[in-house]
Amino acid sequence: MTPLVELRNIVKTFGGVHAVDDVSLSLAEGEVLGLLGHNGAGKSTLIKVLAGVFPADSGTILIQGQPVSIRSTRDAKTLGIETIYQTLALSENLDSVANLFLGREMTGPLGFMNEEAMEEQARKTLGRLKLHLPSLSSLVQSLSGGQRQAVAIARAIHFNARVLIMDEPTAALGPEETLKVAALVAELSRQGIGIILISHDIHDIFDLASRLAVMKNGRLVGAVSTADVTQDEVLAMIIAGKMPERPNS
Amino acid sequence: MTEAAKPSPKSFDWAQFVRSQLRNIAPLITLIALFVFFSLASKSFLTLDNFVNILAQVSLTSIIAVGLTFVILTGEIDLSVAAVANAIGIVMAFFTLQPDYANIQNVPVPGLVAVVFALAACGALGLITAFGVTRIGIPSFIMTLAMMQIAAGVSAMLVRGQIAYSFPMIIQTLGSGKFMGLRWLIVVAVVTLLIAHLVLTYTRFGRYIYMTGGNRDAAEYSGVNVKFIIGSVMVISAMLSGFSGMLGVAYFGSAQQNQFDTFLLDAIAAVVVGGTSLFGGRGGIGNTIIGLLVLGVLNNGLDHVNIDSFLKILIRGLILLIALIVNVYAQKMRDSSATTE
Ligand SMILES: Nc1ncnc2c1ncn2[C@@H]1O[C@H](COP(=O)(O)OP(=O)(O)OP(=O)(O)O)[C@@H](O)[C@H]1O
Ligand SMILES: [Mg+2]
Repeated sequence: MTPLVELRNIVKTFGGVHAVDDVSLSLAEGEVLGLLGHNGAGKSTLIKVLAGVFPADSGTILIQGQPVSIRSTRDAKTLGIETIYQTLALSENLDSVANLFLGREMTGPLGFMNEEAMEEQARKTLGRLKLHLPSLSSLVQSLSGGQRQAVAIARAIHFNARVLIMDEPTAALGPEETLKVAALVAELSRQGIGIILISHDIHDIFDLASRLAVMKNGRLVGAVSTADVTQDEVLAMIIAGKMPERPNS
Repeated sequence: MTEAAKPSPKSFDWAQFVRSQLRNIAPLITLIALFVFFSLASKSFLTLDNFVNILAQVSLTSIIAVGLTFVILTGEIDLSVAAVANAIGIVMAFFTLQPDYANIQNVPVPGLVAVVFALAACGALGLITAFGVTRIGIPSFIMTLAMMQIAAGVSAMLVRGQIAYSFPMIIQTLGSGKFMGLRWLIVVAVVTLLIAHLVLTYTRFGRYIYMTGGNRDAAEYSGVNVKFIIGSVMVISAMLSGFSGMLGVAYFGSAQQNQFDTFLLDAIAAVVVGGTSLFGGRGGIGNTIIGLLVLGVLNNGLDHVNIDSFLKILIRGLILLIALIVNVYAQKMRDSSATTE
């Protein structure tokens, strides 16, 4: 079966730094792919290339077998690629609804924004996801870290993503909220959405991801099926950059 | 993911409210305090005529301040507003037939054409600023400082130390005429403020201005063309400054160099005193209106209480300093109250 997303030989440099160096990776429909690696390994940079934040220096991206050009975040969103950024990318001076529709505001006649429609839609999405916020009209600056994360997640889900990128989505969450995100990931994967999940928590990612990809110094160490490896072996991949002795795919 | 079931606070937290609203409350209190003070200190201050006077006095500033509000909301600054106003007033005069005694070598064209030329000129100046800031990457602070000098140069070149007295009919009417007993200038200012408020509050463009000032990365990641937004506000600022300059020369009855110098500080002061954050993303036209009134009441009131005119300048400086302190302080309070949660 053709993969949902295929990255081929992606290279991205910043000045002299090879943030992403010749990485090839694929993601199937409904698959949860865990992306692991040290700080500065290039995980965020790789997914930002896919999200359209900056174009790759070289390499190809295929969606369902078709080569695509992703030059901007709009391109990525048009292709159904939604991203929860590590920094969340929320505008603190605006309320939750405004943030949920950031850049995709609904407008009525005369080009004025349709606040009521947006609020209703936001309420629905949050309800569907069982994500609760105290008030939709309070500014994001007054929300807790977990509540902010809820807004960022709702935004990514709202527009019917085919591919969902989550860059450390549970970093600011307590154990209970983390469980909710885990349930959400499982649910979305059942719906056929391909998910790339970046996390530093190996336990979590072992539970959620069916496949793991490990990066080190901008390069891909390898990708393995979660079922085929132990956590220690994955740790070795992260730290030493070596594939496990036993041959796996 | 966070439950809504947190116990709600027993009573309304006033301290918290005041802290979060400091940037809106402080200017309003200042306005009321000044108003009460001058009403008590002078008999002539508290009259309807004088109130209309104050409005007329701040009208020109308010048109400039609207553009500046847009710019400051994106987290940028425009120091060229007054110089651009001056230059565009002069450009318009340059294209208007002047009386013989004006002694200016100019190029008279029909009035409406002169207006169009003047508008095109401020659009061009705005585009140059926008280009410098967004394409070349010059910080707006420096770029508009350069534009200030360029605009001053344009003014100097066109009038060469002389004074122009004639302006196109329509501008003459809007700048110094009356409409049912009310100065057109006030009407124009109010309409400008209203439109700006609608744009900022209810349109995507307005929201993107707030986003750009609030979190530029987030705006970019959401597909907002941040450079376009910043470029646009620079052009809008130049256009409104130019428009104000055109009305201004008609209001003053003459166009000459260095005529708008005080408008730079006044416009910035109005925006900042009103509570719009110097860091961008917070504030708006409502704040600017309060700021304009504070300035208008202060300037006008000081005239009524017979204060040494040199002291007047100092007092204005001190008020501005206090406003700056409150502005920065409000931001710090917000930052710390956001992180101590
Ligand atoms: N916008 C940028 N400009 C310059 N260098 C960058 C930029 N973004 C990332 N880098 C560099 O690229 C490398 C990879 O960074 P990246 O953020 O992708 O790492 P990461 O794996 O996501 O790390 P972390 O686990 O800390 O989030 C780092 O050396 C970083 O300094
Ligand atoms: Mg990262």
